[in-house]
Amino acid sequence: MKLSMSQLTKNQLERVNSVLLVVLVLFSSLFFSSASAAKYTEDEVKAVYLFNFTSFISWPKDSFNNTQEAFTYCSLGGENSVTKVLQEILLGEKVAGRIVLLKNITKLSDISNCQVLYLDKRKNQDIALILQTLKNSPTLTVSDAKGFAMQGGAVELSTKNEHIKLLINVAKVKATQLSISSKLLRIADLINAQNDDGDEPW
Amino acid sequence: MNKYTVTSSHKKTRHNWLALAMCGSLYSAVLSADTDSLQRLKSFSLEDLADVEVSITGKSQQQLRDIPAAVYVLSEKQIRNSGATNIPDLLRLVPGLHVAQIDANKWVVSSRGFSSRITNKLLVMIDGRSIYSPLFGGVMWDQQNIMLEDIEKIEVVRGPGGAVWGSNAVNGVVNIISKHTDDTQGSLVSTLIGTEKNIISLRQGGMLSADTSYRIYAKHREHEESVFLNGSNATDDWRDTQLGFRIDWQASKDKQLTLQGDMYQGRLSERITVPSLATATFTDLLDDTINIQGANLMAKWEQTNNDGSTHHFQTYIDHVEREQWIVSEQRDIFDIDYQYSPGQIGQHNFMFGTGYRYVQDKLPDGNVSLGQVRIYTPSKKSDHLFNAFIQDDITLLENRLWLTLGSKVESNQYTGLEFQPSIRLRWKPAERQLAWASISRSVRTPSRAESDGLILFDILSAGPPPVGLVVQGSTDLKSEVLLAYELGYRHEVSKTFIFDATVFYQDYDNLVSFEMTGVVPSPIAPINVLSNTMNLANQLEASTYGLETSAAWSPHEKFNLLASYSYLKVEVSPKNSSLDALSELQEDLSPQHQFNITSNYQLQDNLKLSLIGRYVGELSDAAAYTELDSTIQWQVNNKLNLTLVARNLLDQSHPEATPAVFPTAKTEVEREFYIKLDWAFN
Repeated sequence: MKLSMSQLTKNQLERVNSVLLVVLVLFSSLFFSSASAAKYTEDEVKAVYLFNFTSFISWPKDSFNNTQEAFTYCSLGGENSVTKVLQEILLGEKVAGRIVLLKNITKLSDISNCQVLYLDKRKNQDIALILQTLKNSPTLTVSDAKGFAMQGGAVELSTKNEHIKLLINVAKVKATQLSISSKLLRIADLINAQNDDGDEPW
Repeated sequence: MNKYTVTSSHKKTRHNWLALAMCGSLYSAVLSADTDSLQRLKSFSLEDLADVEVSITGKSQQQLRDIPAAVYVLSEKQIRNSGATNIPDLLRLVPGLHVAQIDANKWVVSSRGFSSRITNKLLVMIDGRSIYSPLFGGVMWDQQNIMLEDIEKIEVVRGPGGAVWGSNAVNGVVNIISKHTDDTQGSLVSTLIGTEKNIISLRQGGMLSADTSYRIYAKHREHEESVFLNGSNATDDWRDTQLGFRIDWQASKDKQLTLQGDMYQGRLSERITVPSLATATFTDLLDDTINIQGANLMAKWEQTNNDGSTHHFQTYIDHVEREQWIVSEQRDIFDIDYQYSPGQIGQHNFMFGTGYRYVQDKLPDGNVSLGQVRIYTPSKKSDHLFNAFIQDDITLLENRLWLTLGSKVESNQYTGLEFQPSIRLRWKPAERQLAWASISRSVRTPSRAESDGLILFDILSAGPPPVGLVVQGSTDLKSEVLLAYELGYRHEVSKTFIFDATVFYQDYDNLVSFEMTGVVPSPIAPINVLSNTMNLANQLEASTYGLETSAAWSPHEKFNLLASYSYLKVEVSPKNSSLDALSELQEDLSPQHQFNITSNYQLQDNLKLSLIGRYVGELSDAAAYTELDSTIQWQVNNKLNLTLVARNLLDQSHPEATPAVFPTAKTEVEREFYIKLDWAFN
């Protein structure tokens, strides 16, 4: 009984296999152009965004004490799953000729000298207090917490329909003397922009 | 406040056993990013990055991988790709489940055998609220009309879940989990127009304050008739309307309150065969109208403390009214549950739970002069159920081997105390692999009808006096008992290929049998019939064994395949003293073989094609069939989504199940097409 069951199963599995093969052959031509691709996690995409910002945003010179000073990412509340990936991405990278550091900080008093401050929503931090402490110092504040940009944060990473969207608070970025390239603005939704064209009619 | 709290807290509802209790080390296995693919992602342009589809279920999938049970989660994306418009059709995608449509408003959904309109061994819940009917057992699928757009996922466990979920979770547990209101902000207007049905859904989401979000929705469905075997219209059209709301309040960092409720009303038609003294065949056809209405309200409180301990508290009330030729029912349920987990303490991860349920019903007798003989003694009944459970997940070898022990103890007024223990061992031979084994006991308690009902099913001869076939319930019924042995293996071979297999052997005792007691004077006082009475007793035994496998393969970001196959063998036998002659019929109620292949193609950035092929093996009363469903989704712009669906493409119409017990006329499921327009705006 057991034997016949497993044989049957094997036959059926073979049928599945042959169907899979047919489907594969039919559709492989559509996709042969690129190698097999994995699906990315939210954390990975967020981390790559964090890295890419350095190419599309420039920091004022006076945000560094000297020319040797490292470009510093800070993660308040300690390590999180996004900065874990970021750590890997930053290996061997330089930003505008500077070496790059990723600091996991726990105290609010340590947030000066951060070029990018990432606040992970899972850490549930007091965002209002953090933004108030930073005032308009030249730090790019980034978070995936909902309503972050609305609250006065610079860049909010939000997940919509399985895509990571950027929401940029343009006024805030300007106030912190950072300049953002139009390329970045083009793919983002904007708030507090002078001519709000984030919302296209359909 | 954020989705992650909520996602995990959904689990911490009664699904705690999935997330917390059954595996203490959920987050320990955080996937380190695959270096090659990460380098590739790094080279993406901004536009490409914005287009990358991320796997939101990543974390829960990881958790899933570590659960020592036959678990399957139907994701939001699968729900969208399926083109299904109701919950039973969605469940067709779950490996191993058997779904069959009897007519336009009746379905069979079962796990591991014993498929019937009254599938009394499968427990189904919506957000932790049981929709299992205590009257006959099983689920009245026509009373479930939540917006499919609001479902975050459907978690399915095949096999016994009694140790945590309690009675009636014998062959499986289905929990339909709705989205957090954070994820349904803005407005949605969804209209569906098709050859078999029209559906309109409206939803509005917003913020009541900075930490409180809400949604309200309304949904109306109108279904056309299916067809009789001769092609004429079956009188089974129906319509229903449901309204509902949900509010989520993030009280503080780790405290959350959810309040939700629904109300509905529906009117359905059916043509059924009824016993009659007025015709030569002693049966008559009756066009019956079913009226349903109900409402429910639920509150949940979840709290995680700094030491990692969690409290979960939930309570609900549920009111159901149903008027139908074969049954008339009014029922109120009050349920309250509390769960506590102190977090990991050394090698132990404990979980405790306790609950109480009050059920009160009113079951008026049928109109005896119309042959509508159904009598419940007593006609009003209330039942108090108490339960408690304890579970311990023990780490035997760090990151390698765990043992989960647990049991539920339940007290009900039908059978008294019930114990449902389980023991589960899980072993991680390597990262991303899990092998598990379990032995568990689960019970199904007698339904109200089985205990207190008396129903005239048929007239056997005209007499005088006429002789009727009567089924009489028994208050002496015991619980049906299952002892199940399962083995499972899950392997995430690579990021693009995942494989899962379970084999099981299930041994049932005390299954309900129909015992002929011979012709006796009628127990139905008002009419003068002799009764050929069948009494219910626990005189059947059964064993089932089978295999359930599934695989997911995504060779390319624009193409993926999901395939599943399941095998099932059921053997039912009466005990020596039994006079049951119907037991063999139960062996082929569920198909032996089922296949499912789903393929999804991202044709263009905004155009997606999904094809679903389904094979369902032969039943005792329906031939095997293969069907194909196709869905095309076109994201016209960021507000408008157009979906074209064709279902059952391979046949003009096909039968899936034969109605049994008060049979409605046999119908076939038709090929159908529909177009769905979703307009989302702020």
